[in-house]
Amino acid sequence: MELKFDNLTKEFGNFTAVDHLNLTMTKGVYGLLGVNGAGKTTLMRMLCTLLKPTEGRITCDGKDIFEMDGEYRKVLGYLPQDFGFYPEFTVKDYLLYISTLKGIPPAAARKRVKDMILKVGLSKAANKKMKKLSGGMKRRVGIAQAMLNNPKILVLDEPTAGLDPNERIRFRNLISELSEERLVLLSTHIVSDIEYIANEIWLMKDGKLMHKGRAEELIHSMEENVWECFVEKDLVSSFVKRYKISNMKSEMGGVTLRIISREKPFENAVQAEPTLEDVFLYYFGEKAGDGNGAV
Amino acid sequence: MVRFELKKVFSRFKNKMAVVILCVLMIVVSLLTMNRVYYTDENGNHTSGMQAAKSLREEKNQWRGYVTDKVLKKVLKEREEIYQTKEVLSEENTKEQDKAYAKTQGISSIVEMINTAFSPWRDYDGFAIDRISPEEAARVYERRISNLKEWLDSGEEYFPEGQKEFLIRQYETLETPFYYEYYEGWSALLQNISTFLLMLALIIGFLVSGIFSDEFVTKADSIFFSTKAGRNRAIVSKIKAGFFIVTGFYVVFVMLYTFIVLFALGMEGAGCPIQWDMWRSVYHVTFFEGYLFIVAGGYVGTLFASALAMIVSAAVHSTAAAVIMPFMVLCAFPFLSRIITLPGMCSFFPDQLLDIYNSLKESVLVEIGGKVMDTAGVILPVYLFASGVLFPVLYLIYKRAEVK
Repeated sequence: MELKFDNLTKEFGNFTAVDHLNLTMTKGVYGLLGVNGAGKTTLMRMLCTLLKPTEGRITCDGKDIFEMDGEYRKVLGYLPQDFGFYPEFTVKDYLLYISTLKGIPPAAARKRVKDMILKVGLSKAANKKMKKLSGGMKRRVGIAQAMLNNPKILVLDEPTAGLDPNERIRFRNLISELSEERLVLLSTHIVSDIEYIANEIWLMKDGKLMHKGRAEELIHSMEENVWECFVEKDLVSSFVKRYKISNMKSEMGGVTLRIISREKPFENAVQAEPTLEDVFLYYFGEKAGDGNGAV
Repeated sequence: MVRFELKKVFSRFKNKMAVVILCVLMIVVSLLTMNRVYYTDENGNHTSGMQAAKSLREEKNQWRGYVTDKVLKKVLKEREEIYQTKEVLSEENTKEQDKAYAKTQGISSIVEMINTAFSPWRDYDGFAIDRISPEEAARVYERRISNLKEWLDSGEEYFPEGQKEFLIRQYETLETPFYYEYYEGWSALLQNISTFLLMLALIIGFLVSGIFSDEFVTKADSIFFSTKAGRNRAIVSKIKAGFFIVTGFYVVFVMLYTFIVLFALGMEGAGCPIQWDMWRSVYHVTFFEGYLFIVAGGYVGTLFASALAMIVSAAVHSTAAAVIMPFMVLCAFPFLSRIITLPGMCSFFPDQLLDIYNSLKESVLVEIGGKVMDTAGVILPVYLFASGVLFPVLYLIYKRAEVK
């Protein structure tokens, strides 16, 4: 299976949310990284046929996905960023309804729903109303509904947003487990989510693709170095003004700074191993904090 | 899939409340309707409701049959005998008058028919019967036609030649003599049914107004439209659910209301001509046929208003905007007509579908392609067709919806 963005553009009035994207995806996990407003959600909505492109097209094995209509959506699973539900439905009813929408025959749907409830660890909540579920449980129902039709294309928009650290790790592992043998596009602005599970990472800014590659490739693409140094508290503000600071840690008598800079910023600074978070700050620094501030 | 759509509608608290309110309204309107039948006993005491209906039925059914010349003469004689005593004729002695009236209840509708026939066209003279001979009374059916002709010739209201001919033809071809029996159950049912149908249509419109917009309101739209059936079969299911709610609720509640009223007031009289209640009606229908016409009009009006509500719901993604639609379609014009004089074309507006009762009573005629007909007879098929067109439009609007 090959998904291709061909000169893909989406404009809302004068605002260009996605700007002439040309990309190809095959099997594997693709991590879409960018700050809020980068165009990630718009791109995903077009991929899920929720929005029509202003220009260009998306093809699946050479066919336009909008012309394929239901045939394309048959192989699609989608977990939106801010997904709604029917508050009075139980988890089981909700999943059975989505199964029907996905065209799964009733008998198979009942079995699949049971399996998915088990897989996402919601057996005890199967008969609970959706409105009674916690945020984490709702996300798990969300991933269950996306997986009901065993999709070949899985689109996950900010799947870990709003989850506590425990839930996030559990959820990340679940996605990793589910991503075998399919094409997964995972969008987030939480760098660590992608670092662990994505085979290829796309960095998106202002609707355009800035960089793509594996985590190591992106790290090596940085043209600046990462430094760590311990400075007095009084000096922090002058460093923040001059450098991109990827981390600050207050300690007794001062602050440990993680600085992205071509040159050594301070005499006592020690060069550190760059991470994907440093890459994120390097590319999106302006929007990551205040001016060249911290992540 | 339709089952889930229905479940979505009826799992919402506001919709459950709407159904409860509808049940309460039905009971209230049924009780009010039942109290439309009055009876005065031999002591001059008035009652209403089920017991009154039972007594009145016994009285009236003694005169059951065709109201021929012979019967008309007999009615006049019977009435004369009752009203000849001094006590009854005394204007101060109302109790005695009530007692006398109690004896005439069996023939009260025939007396009213004679009074109407011998009154000026737009008036009712309750004493007209006192001034006519039995021979004159026997010409009551001819009098109906001659009254119409006189009124048309007077030029009080303008009618084109075609419409005049239509009216006269309808009057002349009405089958006489009229069949008579107790019909008050049907009469009461028809008098209140328009109010009930309007309330029913508004509540049904409320129930269906969220079917399409709630996907957006609850933010379930993204998942809905990204599924295989989201832009085809699922939309058809939503339309089916809307149609089933409109049809199901309409049929069930109209039948319940009819059953309650007729069970309490009696089913006899279904075959009597509607002219017993609507002397000037141009329709050749019985009470039962008139009922069917009113109910059919109400259904088409409800279907049309609900389809519009669903279209607004699908187009603007707002349940609140959709709820307003049935009110606009069914209530705005009757309300405006009380404030300002609306042009004649307002007789073609959909609110008229829920007021077929008044169309049966006083027709607004229209000439289309040289053929004269009543507007009610025109708007019913027109809006039925329009409703049929709205559903494919609804499908296309929702199919093209984008999630922004």
